[in-house]
Amino acid sequence: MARITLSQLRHSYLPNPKGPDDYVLKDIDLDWHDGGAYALLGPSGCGKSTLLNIISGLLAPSEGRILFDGKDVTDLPPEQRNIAQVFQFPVIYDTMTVYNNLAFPLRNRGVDEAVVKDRVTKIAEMLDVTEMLQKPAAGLSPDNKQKISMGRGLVRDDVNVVMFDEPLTVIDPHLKWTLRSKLKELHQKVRATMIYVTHDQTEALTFADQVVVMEDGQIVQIGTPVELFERPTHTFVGHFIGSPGMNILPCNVQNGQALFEGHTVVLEGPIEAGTVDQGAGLTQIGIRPEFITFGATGVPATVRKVADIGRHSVVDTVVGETLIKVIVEGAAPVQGAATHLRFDPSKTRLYRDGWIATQALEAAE
Amino acid sequence: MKKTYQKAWFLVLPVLLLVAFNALIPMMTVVNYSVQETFGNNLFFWEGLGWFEKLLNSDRFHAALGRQFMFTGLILVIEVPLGIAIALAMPRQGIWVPFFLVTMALPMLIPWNVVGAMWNIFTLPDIGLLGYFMNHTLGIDYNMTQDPFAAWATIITMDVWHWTSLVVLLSYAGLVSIPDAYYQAAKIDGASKWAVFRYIQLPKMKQVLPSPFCCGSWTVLISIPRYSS
Repeated sequence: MARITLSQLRHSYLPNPKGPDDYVLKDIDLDWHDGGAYALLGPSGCGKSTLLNIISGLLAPSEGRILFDGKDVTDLPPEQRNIAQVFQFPVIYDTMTVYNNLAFPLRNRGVDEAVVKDRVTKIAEMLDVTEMLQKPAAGLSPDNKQKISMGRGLVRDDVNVVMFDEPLTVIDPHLKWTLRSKLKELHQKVRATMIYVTHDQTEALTFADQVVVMEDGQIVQIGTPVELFERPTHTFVGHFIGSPGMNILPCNVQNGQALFEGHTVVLEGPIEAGTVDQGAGLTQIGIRPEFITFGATGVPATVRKVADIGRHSVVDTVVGETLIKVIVEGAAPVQGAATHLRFDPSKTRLYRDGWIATQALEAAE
Repeated sequence: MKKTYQKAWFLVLPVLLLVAFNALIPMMTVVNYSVQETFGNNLFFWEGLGWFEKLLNSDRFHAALGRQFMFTGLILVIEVPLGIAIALAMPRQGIWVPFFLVTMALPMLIPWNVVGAMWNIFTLPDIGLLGYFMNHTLGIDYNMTQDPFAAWATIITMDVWHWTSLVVLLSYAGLVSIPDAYYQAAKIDGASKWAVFRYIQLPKMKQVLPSPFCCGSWTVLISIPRYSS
């Protein structure tokens, strides 16, 4: 187990990258702490699998270094990095039994057969696959196959990091949940550093202590699931996480005040100084549907559509040309009704060119 | 209840007729000949199973069948490992892939009787390119028309040249169907090159490799009728 440091990592699949557009990873600086459960979340093509393959050594980065516990491993091949990786499609050795599959990484390293037996038995118990140890691995169901590939990663006790590359893709929906909690449980037992790559926010938020959100080869935010939800530092995070995502409203900034459709919107705190004046750049207001309420005063809006999704309703309202989604529990206004929207000031923020531009006031009380 | 239209059988009638005239009827004629004896003039006498009895008791037939099995065994022992080795050495991506695939397929595209005629001339001791080269340039005594060992060596070389490509293409098809993740997982698991071959590549090729063995048995089967003529 180890702390993993990525330092000024850049990667391009082109031999001679010119502009920043040629890079799939743009300057990544990151520290993964020993024993943490991390998720790497982002849409398809954002570079998260590339990053994973660079950590595992399957890919050499164009620039930058990778350190395990401070030791530079950038030039080491995968088998010398002592890492484990679980792939999107379960990789099992068809001709072997489940036992031999789990023993394979140990035997390749010349581990004593008595130790192999001990480790395999222990891991099989953890994964609930003890009764299928002597069965051929070829006939297993996809979820059991995926369990075996996880087991092959965990069977070595000197493993630095276990990485999961969208491991639940081929698993039946009703089994995803059990496999996910199994994974969480395993992490608590073995305390290995784990990195879980996914584009599914539910998977990321349930598995990880810390979520790293990536977009377009960049890390946009690192934080706990609560932090990502409560205070997204980039409009992408606000939009990507949550269902429906954060409302992003066009606005003007005048005299340190945000104006949306002519209405002053109270923000969580003062606006950070921009380059020239506070109105420079593209400014937007971000507010989650959960933090808007209907009231007698506030921004006047018209209800366009109400979708009752069980526990709460998602109400689509329009202010001018802008669509604003509101989540209400209990009675929702009727379609076509004129109403007023009230934004919770502590959850309303200004974003400049996508990045957060308000300072949170320290909670006084 | 679903209604069954028996008239649909008429739709397969054209194919049935075609197959009857170019395969079934000629084959049954041969079966008919096999139980007859003739001295010409289209005059036939009933012979029963006599021919079969004679054939099965013939030492010449036994020897020929033995040689046929030996031939098949030898070419498989050469072609299968050689084909796998070539397939492993072939690039799996890049601009050279089509070049290698076409080069590999070429010998197979030549009809077998042309292969025979071609190699016959090629290996003739004094006028064939190979024959002349062996005898008069290298000074190795080589005469496949007289010497049994030279004849064996020639037909085996010929078959290897003609059919190794089949093993290459089948193995190659098996190899390219292996997802990258398998190789990556094996690397991470610390598998040696041999382990990758033994546990990932060979199992994949095993699915396609039985066909050369079938072809091998086929050459034995189709050779049998020739002895009877």
